[in-house]
Amino acid sequence: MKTDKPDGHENWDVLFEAADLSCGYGDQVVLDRLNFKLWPGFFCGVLGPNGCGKSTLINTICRVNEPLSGNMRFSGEELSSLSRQRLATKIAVVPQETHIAFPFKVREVVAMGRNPHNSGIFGAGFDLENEKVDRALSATGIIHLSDREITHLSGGERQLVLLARALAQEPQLLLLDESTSNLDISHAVKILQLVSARVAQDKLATLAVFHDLNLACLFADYLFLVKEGTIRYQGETREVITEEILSDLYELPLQVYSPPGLGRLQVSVRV
Amino acid sequence: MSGVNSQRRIPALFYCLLLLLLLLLMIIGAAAVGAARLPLSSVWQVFADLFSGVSGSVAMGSVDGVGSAARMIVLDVRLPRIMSALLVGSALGVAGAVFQGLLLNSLADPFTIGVSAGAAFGATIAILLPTYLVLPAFLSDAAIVPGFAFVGALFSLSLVYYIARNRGRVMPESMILAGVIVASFLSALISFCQSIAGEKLAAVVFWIMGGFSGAMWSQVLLLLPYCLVCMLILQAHAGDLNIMAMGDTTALQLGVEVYKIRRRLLMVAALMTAAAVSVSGVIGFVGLVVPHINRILLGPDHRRLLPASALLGGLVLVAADTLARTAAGATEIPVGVVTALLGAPFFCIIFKKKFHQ
Repeated sequence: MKTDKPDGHENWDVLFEAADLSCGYGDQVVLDRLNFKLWPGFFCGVLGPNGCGKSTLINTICRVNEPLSGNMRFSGEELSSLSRQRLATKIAVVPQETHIAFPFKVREVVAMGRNPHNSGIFGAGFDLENEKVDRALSATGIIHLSDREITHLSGGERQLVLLARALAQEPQLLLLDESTSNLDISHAVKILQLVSARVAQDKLATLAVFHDLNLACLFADYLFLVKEGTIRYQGETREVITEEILSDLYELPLQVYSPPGLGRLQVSVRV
Repeated sequence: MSGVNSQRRIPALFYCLLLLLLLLLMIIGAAAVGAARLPLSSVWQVFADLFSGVSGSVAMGSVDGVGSAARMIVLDVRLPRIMSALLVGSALGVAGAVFQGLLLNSLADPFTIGVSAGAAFGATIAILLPTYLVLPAFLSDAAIVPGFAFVGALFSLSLVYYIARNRGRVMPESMILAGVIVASFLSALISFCQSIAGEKLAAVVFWIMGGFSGAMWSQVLLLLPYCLVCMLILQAHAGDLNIMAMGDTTALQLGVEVYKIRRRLLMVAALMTAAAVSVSGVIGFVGLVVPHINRILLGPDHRRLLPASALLGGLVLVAADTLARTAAGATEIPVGVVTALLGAPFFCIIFKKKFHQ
């Protein structure tokens, strides 16, 4: 199984490395002794059937859940040695959806992404006039929504706000936890294109949990295929997206094809 | 701007300065009215003397000084009462805003987690105690009731916290649930005590309804630093409260130690409520309505919401207490009745305007 650096990136340092990482809750082991690496400037995807522990993995990496065993290193530093605030300057997450109890304005929500960079007793919180907030708002194309209340936005707009908040954190690693699963195809593609652009331009490392096989094929450079608590396959997208591997993963006859001119593989169900 | 959804908000600094001004006017006005009506000019003179450092004896000796009776009424009777109402109103306003933020529920108020029921139970015990125990003379009702109420509030708080805690974490829903359970249990105990209270029944009921009739400077001087410290701690975490409104997972991902901070804020807000309740009895509505009005006017940012709620809470309760002691002549209306009678319709108007356009 291929665990080396992907082709053409031999010179890049590993940003994140998990060694014998086990995740779960209490006595229940969801993911057992995973070993994987994430590289800057690389869009990695996670695929797998429902309940295989994709979200548990994301929550463990950002330390919402503590790992059961094993360790994680970020730029060579032990992840557990970082304070939560410091961690949030390195790793940001775009969740699937957020219930927001109060009608904060879009600019306020995005500015919350600056929270981990602030310090001081009464400095905690966020600075609305920060230029990095503006930059995140324009990068995601939602500067015109700045003064709207988040509670009044559509699902697609709201997801753009959450992406802008994550970008305002200026992370080195961006985690997408099924960020596009509830969106229509145009909003989903828009979000993933924005992320791809940051991956290419800012050498952002990205780990995205995908629901949709075809979106994963379109955007991910490298894939982790998770089943029954382990990473069963990993490798560059064009190598692991095969009928044999996918049919094993989903226990369903799947057909892989290459639409002319696309340069990427696509998958459909064989019925 | 962009469509109907963009809400106009009032600049926070302007709003707070306005409230401060109204509060000062309210204090002067409240010091003037009562059983003996004093001219505003002499109230003003008393304050002016107080702040310019003219000692009482010199001023009393002066020909154009304010009469010593007026001075005594303002400084010894009305001002401690006004300051108590101000402090309790501020404490309830801020605690209400914090509880609503922590429990992510705009129906929460400082009493949601059972602090008031505990205080009321403690006070009831203190009022009934002399019937069964011979107490030394210096332990009068006035001396022991606030202490018992405070201990009762702490007791109910610990109980709620113990029930709601799960592996070191307190979740908002379990806190509300535990609060409701403990409060109803304590209410049953209070009802039982009332049924055997005999001639003390009126005292118990009157205490629970809330009021400031026995306010003393000693109470104010205890309450002031206590509330200030609590409010400063809460204000220091106002930014965290904003982020915690995004939900636990997101707040953790944004670098907030959610469980630690929630525990700290719950404790501080509840301790502040406990002190307020033990001085004043159970005064409803201030802690619910004040943060609501401010959130509508200023938006949900807790860094502005908390100071504004302190000012508006103080203003509202000084106004309500002034009405309570003057509206019905010599008879005093319980201040909790005033806050609810005026607060509810006012709140309904705002609510209708805001949400049912």
